[in-house]
Amino acid sequence: MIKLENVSYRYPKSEQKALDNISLELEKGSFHFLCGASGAGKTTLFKMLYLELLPTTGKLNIINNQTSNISRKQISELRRHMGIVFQDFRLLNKLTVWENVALPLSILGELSAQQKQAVNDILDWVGLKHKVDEHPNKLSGGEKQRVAIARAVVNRPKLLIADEPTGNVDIEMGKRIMHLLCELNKHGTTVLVATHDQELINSFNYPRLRIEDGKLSVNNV
Amino acid sequence: MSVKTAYKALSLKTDPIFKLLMIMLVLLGWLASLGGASIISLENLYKEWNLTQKSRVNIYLLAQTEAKSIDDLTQTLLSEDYITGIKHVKDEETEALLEQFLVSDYKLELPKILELQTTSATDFEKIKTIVDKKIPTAQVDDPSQVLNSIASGVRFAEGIALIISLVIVFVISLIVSLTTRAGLRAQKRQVEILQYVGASDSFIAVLTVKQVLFCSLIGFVGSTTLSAFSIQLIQSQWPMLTTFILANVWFIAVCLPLFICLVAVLVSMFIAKRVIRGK
Repeated sequence: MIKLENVSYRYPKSEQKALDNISLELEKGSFHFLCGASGAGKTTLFKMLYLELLPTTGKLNIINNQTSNISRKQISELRRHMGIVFQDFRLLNKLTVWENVALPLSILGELSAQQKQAVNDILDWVGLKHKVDEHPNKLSGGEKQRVAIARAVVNRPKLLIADEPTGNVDIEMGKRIMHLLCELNKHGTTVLVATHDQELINSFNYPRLRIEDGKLSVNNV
Repeated sequence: MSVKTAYKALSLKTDPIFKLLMIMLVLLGWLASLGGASIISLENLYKEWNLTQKSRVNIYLLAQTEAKSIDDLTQTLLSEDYITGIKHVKDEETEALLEQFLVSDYKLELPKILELQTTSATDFEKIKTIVDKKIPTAQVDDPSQVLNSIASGVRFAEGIALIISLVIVFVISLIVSLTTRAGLRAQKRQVEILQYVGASDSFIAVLTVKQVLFCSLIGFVGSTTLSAFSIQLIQSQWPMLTTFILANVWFIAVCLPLFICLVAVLVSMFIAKRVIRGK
């Protein structure tokens, strides 16, 4: 699903490598935690996985696509098979909850009755069926995060990348969100969750990837 | 649902900069439309005048010129293919023409005037040669110099109008380019979110172009309406100009704002793609 071979990344005008010779392979249907301190390189690695950044050196393969010489059109097509959850939710306040969740399907054309039902089902799954007509700025942090998750999974992605999905919610809501992600993983989606919440990581028996100063180590439980 | 949602997500419709673009397109479209219509009217007026001048040649004869010589000259001139008729201007008409130059109590013998109706193939040199040969004291009114200088004047005015048109097109391209850039940069976060959910550059560019197209169409309707009112007003104020406001004037008055609409859409398409790619 994801394969990195000796991947390094250096930001322009920076002397230090943000990612240093990382090699990693994540199997289809796996669940991994990515942990590390702030500035360790988590966000850079995530940006690379959703192809906002491309490796300075090394090979990156995402969902059976080599990213060397990848075009912008191919990137957008590849992102349609990914779900991305951001710590700051990145929802659109001009749209309702329903429209935010339907956005990945909307860009593909007119929504079919089946797709509309899928949006309703996902909102039901994250427990926000009663908030469909609300705008995100009226929601709590936990609700926003659930909307973000619903949007990320509405097109049944092969890969879900979540950056600190529990960072802005209380412990209870954090656990609820994690259970949603686990449930999704059980249906075959490869999940990678970045978090620095040690307690949360310890509550689940999933392999951990640790990143420090741009170098990656794997901790199997 | 569908593209509508993405369009709403980008919220360009409510962006004040696009409202400003709409006003600019109305005003510039109006200016271009009225300018174009004026130039075409001028061309119509020039063509009309040129045709009148080219199809009429006057020969002035001394008062004492014998009738026999005049008849002889008339016959010779009528044998030329490009001369379709010769009118002997009546004394009353000549007097009326010269009235302003004559002192009231002075009785001047009036010159005789022959008015030649000609085709566009008029050969002035040939007419001059015939007249010189038959009646050497006669004068042929040769309008070619005046025609040439007026033609140069008209061409100069048209050249200036063309330059102004190019400047207007350039200004519109610049305004559309800056508006598209500013509009998309103000919506950077929304653009990024659309990209994260898989929207391609073309998809986002089309949403932007759609907004510019909307502004352009409003600009087109607004500027064409203003032009139509302006032309009507000109016609009512100066009815003599109505003769020169033909179908081609209306055609240009509508086509120029439409052309501006097209330029705006093409420029926005090009710029939107560049901005989305981060250039």
